[in-house]
Amino acid sequence: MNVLVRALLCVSLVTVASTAAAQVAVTVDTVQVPERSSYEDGYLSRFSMDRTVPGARARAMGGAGLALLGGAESQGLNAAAILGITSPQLESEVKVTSGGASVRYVPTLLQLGENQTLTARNYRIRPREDLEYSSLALGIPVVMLGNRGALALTYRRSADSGAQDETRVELRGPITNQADATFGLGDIPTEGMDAISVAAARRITDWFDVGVNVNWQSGMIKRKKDVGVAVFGFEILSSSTDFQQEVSGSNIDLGGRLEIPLRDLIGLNMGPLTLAGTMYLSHDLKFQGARATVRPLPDPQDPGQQTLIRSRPLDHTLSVPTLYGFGAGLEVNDRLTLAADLWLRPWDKATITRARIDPVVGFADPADSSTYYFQLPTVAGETETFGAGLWNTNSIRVGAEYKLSHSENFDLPFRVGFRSERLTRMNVAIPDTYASYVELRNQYWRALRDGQTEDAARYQGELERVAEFNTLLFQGQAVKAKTITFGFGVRIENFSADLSVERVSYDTDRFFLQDFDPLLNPLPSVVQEKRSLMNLSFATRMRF
Amino acid sequence: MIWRIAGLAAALATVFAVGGCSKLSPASIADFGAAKTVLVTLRDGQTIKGHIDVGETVTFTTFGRVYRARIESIGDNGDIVLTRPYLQEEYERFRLQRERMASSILHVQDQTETIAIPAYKIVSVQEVSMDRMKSARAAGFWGFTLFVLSQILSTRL
Repeated sequence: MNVLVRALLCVSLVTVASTAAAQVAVTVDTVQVPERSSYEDGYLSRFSMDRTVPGARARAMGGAGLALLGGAESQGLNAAAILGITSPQLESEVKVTSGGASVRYVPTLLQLGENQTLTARNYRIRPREDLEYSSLALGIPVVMLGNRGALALTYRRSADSGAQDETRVELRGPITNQADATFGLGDIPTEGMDAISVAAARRITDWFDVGVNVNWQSGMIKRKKDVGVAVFGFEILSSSTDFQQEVSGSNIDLGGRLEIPLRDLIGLNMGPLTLAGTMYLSHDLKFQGARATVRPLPDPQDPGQQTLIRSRPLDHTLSVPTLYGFGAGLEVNDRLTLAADLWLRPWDKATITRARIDPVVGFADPADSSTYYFQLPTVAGETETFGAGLWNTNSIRVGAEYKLSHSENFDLPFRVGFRSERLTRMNVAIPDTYASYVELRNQYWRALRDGQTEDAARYQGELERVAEFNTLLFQGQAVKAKTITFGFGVRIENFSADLSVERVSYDTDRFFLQDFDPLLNPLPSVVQEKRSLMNLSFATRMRF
Repeated sequence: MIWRIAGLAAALATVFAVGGCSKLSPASIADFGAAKTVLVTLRDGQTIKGHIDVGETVTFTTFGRVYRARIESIGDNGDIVLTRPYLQEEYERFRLQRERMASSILHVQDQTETIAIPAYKIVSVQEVSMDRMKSARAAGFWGFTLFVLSQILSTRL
């Protein structure tokens, strides 16, 4: 039964009938469900696969700065940039996320079943505030093979689980006895992927630097969804989903910087122009040990019976393509610095590899279309690889830094920047074929009944695809984001502190109220939202 | 959660503990006896640090050794006589505690228990005071760093 029908039937029973049902002793049935990978199940739909911008200075400059000399934290942008370390230093950074959202389009009628609709109104979405660490970085200057060099060791959050939010909508219809029922959903991804990174950089000549950075990445991706249904402000029903999975991988970054002395070459009265390039070499990310527990809303026909759905999504491997970054930096004078970066991130080459699934679909009772079932048996010893459905997330970043005050022992820089990019988060697009999954099942049943073998094979293929790949089939274009940034810094002798503010704006299409699920919620619809996230970063650095 | 609480506690403790950043400002022999912490530097590099007044205990640093000693007398011209020197620290050695337990009184050169420092050896006198800004920066930095560290540990442990 559709989860919303179930929820609202419960509302009806609770509001009209007595509360005796709530006092029935509850028994819990635990069931296993067919398993795909967590990627296909949609649990990773908010996981940001692109590396977060390291360092409050780069964040305040729109993420640009891979050509600029920096501290230990800059190894996450360009390993060669750590040559800015001139004395041992320790840096730490945290990030606070908040923001707002509005709705561009929301369905006013919610289709619950073949003949049931509800009016939906007052849909609102609110991102939740969250505080998490960004990095802890140690850097030391060294003499390396007779020339100037630097080493950096960093522990940092390299990829976020995603933004947290809360959604609420008022639903009304015959099934709620024309009373407003508030449907609320909290979607709370936590933790993420961290990296321990070791970088070494060396000056090759007076104008050319190189660096290498090794990242050991690991972490836990967690996601919790809480659904509540309230009448007159009192929550009367709830359900939840808990998911967690380990992720790990390692890779190598290569970087280089080239300084062009404009003053010497063409007589311009300004500092050097710096060109830089970096490569994050291709590697695999392994997603393993997933566990998901779904506690659906109780069945109103049998309120004493609660079902606990457990699953262990299949391990899978995501191939991460080689990512390229090119940057330019210009010290116009001792106060003004400009930077611009271009990132080429060909995520469309990314693939997913997991155990091979040979789906089976059918009807337990060929005479009854409601007895549809599917199974997802894996083929022992075989794997299959398919496209991850991602889009390239190329990015343009520009930034500027101006020191409002500048002396030997004191600096007061102000920074601004802009970034345009696609995210690895995808819009939801519902293909016509799957606009009504229930109807697709019925078409299959009718084709079997009427002996239309060609049509039956076509419908069977589609149903097998949905059963196997699930939300992967609903991935539309990547979300486009525009980011405006600014920030301040202060350096007093050997201590410095930096504050950056990012406003990330994007439009996103996502499933209305619940993700598509062929078992629990087979009637997908889309809501269009406009979001603006505020990321505030604060970092301190001490030189010893 | 334990790590978060421990981290916050450590961060707060650091804020109070790292309050020792000091600065030096010019002073003179006339400041002996005043309620000030003074650093006296001798021409051979030895130093006396503390409240320079009769009966006060000061820190006397000589080559590779740090003593605590009591000021027995201060002459009008700035001569200082230390008595009952007590070895507190010895650089490049690790048997210090054992030696100290064997004899808590140090016999310097002529086996006497006093150290006389004539005024002509004094090359500078500086007042040692707390640098509030520097202390605040250090406390803020270390407190924040420990907070970040506790966040990392609470997530990963």
